[in-house]
Amino acid sequence: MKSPQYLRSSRDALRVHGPVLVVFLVLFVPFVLPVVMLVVGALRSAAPGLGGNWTASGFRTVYSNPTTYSTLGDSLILASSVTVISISLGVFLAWAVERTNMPLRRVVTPVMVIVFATPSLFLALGWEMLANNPAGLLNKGFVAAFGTSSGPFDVNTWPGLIGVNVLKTSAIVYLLMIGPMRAMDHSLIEASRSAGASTRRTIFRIEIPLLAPAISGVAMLTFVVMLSVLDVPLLIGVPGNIFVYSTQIFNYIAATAPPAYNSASAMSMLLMVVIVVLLIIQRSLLRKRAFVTIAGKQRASSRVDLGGWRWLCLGVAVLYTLAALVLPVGQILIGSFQPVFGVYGHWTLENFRYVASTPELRHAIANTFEIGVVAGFCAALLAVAISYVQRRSTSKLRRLPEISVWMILALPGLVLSLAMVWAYLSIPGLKNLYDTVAMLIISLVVYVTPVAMRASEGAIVQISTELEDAARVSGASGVRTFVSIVMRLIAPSFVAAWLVGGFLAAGNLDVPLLMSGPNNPTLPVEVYNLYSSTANFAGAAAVLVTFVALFVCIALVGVVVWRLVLVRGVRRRSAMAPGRVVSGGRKAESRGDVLPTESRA
Amino acid sequence: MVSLSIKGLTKAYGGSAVISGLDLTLADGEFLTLLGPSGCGKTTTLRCIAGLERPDRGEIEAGGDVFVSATRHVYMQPERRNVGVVFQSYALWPHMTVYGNVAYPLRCRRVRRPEIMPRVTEALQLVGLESLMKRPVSALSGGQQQRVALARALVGEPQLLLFDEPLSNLDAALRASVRSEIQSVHSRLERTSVYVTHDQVEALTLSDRVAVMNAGRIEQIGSPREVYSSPRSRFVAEFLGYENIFSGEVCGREGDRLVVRPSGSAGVLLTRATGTASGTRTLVAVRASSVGLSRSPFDGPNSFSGTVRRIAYLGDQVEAVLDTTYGELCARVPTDQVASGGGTLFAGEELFGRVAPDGVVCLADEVADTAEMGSAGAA
Repeated sequence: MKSPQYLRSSRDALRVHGPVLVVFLVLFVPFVLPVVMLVVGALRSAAPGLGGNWTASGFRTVYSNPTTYSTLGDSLILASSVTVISISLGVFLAWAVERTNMPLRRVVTPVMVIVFATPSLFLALGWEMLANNPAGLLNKGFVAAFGTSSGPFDVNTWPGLIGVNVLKTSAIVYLLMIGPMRAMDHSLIEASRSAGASTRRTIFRIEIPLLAPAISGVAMLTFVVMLSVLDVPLLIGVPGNIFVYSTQIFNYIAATAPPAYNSASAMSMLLMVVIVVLLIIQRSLLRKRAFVTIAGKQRASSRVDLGGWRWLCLGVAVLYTLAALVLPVGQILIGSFQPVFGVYGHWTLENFRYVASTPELRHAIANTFEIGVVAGFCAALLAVAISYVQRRSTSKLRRLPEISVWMILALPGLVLSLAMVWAYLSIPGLKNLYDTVAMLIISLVVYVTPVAMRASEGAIVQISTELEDAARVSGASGVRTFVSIVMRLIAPSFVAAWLVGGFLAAGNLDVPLLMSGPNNPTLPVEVYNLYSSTANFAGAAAVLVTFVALFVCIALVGVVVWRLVLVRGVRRRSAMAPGRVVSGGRKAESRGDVLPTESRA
Repeated sequence: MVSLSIKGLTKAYGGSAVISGLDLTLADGEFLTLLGPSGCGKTTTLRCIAGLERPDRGEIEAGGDVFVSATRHVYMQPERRNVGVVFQSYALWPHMTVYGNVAYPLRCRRVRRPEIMPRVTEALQLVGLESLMKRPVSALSGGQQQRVALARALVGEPQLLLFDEPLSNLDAALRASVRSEIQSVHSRLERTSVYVTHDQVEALTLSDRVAVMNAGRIEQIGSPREVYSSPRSRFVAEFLGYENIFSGEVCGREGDRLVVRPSGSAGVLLTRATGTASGTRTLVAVRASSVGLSRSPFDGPNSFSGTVRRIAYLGDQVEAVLDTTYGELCARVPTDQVASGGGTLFAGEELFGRVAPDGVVCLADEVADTAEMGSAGAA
């Protein structure tokens, strides 16, 4: 059917397509342009902003070098082992918390949230120090306990690299799985039990297949993230001479003189292609599946009685908490009060004095705070706008903004940062932004927006269109409806997206690594420099402790906001009406979404 | 208060027509129900009237206002149409109190501040909820929520009231009470109303006229009594619960009544008066409740004998499916009536029965000459 004639007037066209176009244009410069510039940059002979001429030498250098392929292989090994282990661990813990009578299960989610909010940098440095031979706590303890001459632990190995990544990603898997686990229709499980299946059979034949779409979605996300991760391999792998694809890209810039930007860009292309192919495969696989896990009624679930096994489950949870939180945090805390790393029994504030007296570090603290707040806010705003336009617009173009954001998922932090450098140094007007905090903020907004969308879009989908229709027929204009109804209802998810985005942006190392210098220092980059160029573990630890103190402050503010705005909003909404009318009946389309939405993340 | 007229309304989603060329006129103060199964286009029609959907073709006018006209390039935004809508899922804004919800339309229409309070109170009094004004809407029961939604629809004194299956989220007891609430509000205010439902009881009890919709068209429109007792087509008859539909041959007339021989049957059925309808083939519909059963033979026309195939006990009634001279026939008779004839019904029993000629409805739109009827199937 052709579009009706009277829609052809330009005012109507503007009304239909306008919001989509506005959102798209806002996205274009920061989101799409850098990717274009990256491709252009791979074909230039000189560094960004320095002119040069067209050449394919970058591609030749990279793709004739066998290291490119061997590191790609290593990255695939890293990604698959981390994915398998962290999916097992994360799904297991989510199941134990949601579906069993494991003791202390209420404590697990807060632990996971803290691990998620703690930058990987922190975890990596903590473990670097813990398993350092001979100075780390673990080896010291082993020597003291068994009287051997040296301890057995060394983190700068493949198991160490995989292990530290697993600690972080398990928390992400857990937080993404807890929602679907909770939303699973318990009548399906009860039906299986009454059909004569044992608990174990029900778990393997009913629960896991039901969760398969969610699990496979999370697994794919983990795999993609691990394929492109830079920070942990840089801190853990490189000192042990383990190189993966991302550190190899970084080498072209950091360990080549002059930095070979075109080779780094050319090498990024293959990674992007691999990730895009993976995402496309995943989408087409998921299109065939029906989602039945999310059902209407929520009842107090009948938990599985684990008997004696519940202590084993608790043991796993406790071990995880020790490894992911208690030990690294303890080590860094202790380390920050040591005059020199490894000297126990002698405490000093010298490291903190050093942090306070170094202007660059003080700047970095202020900048990181600003980045967390501003980038988180902008990302949340974009995320909400995109999800809303995507859901409500009738324009044929409505998927455009969403697609351009999801492209970012295929862009590893380092690659994004490379693309940003090209875009900002090559385009005259944008050059002024180079070397500023604003540029870091823009880049980090781009980087965290997809995650912020995850945190907010579920709630937007849940707001019934009837609530807006009711406002329109009550006499409210489109704008008024948005302000007085929609904005109020999505405020809690907005705050959640802001918090998630802020934490991620502030703790990120990959993105600012190429862009942060003496004029716009950030804490993660400063910590990395202290650690990698001067091996100042104690100083790095002190900076991190300050960093965490800062985060706790943000978190406290967040909690206050949470209490004031969010909890009230959630209570109102969840209490609203029998029959779950919020998730608007007739018009609600079932969306083939893979990843569950976990707004508490 | 105003009349409503819809001409040639057409709407398609992705190539498949939901409404095709619908015409409808409502008189001032009339209460009309759009009745039909899900997917028949009734809700889409309502949303086109409210301005929440844009039709592809056609015109809608209410009072002096052109709501939408494809040919004249007019599309009035929903907020300017001054209609009140009661939604299926209540659609109360969870972040506002009862008062806030009901006052919202007044605020949007720039009613002066001192006027708002008395008008909200008045609207809430109409639905008997003025004491709950300060409550958050989430603290109300489903029935109360739908009453608040009704008050919100009424408070702006809309020229049209639209109901989109307002009772379908309520349980049976609440449904009856909110239904009578709607009825009493309408009898007091007499606003021109369009009510969408798939429930025939709601349609019959509330409306001045009922329009039965099928596949984007109005299949039959008339007073509840007309539609219920004289369906014109097979679709309407089936939707309104006629259990028995026979296709048959017209083999004569007796005054106003047709004599119809159901296909493959030895007996003939005398129908209710049909006026001047003519043709050689037709469909006739019989409600199970207009069939009488007995253990002794009946006299007169439309009497038959048959064997009980299966029975279902419904409490005060018994439903029996019989093999009769007319073919398979479903009958529903009062339990005690059969029992008084000596014991209960049982399968395999030989019985006699009769259908009053006034209970045999000739479906007027299905009367045709043999050639045209072609493939009209038997029940």
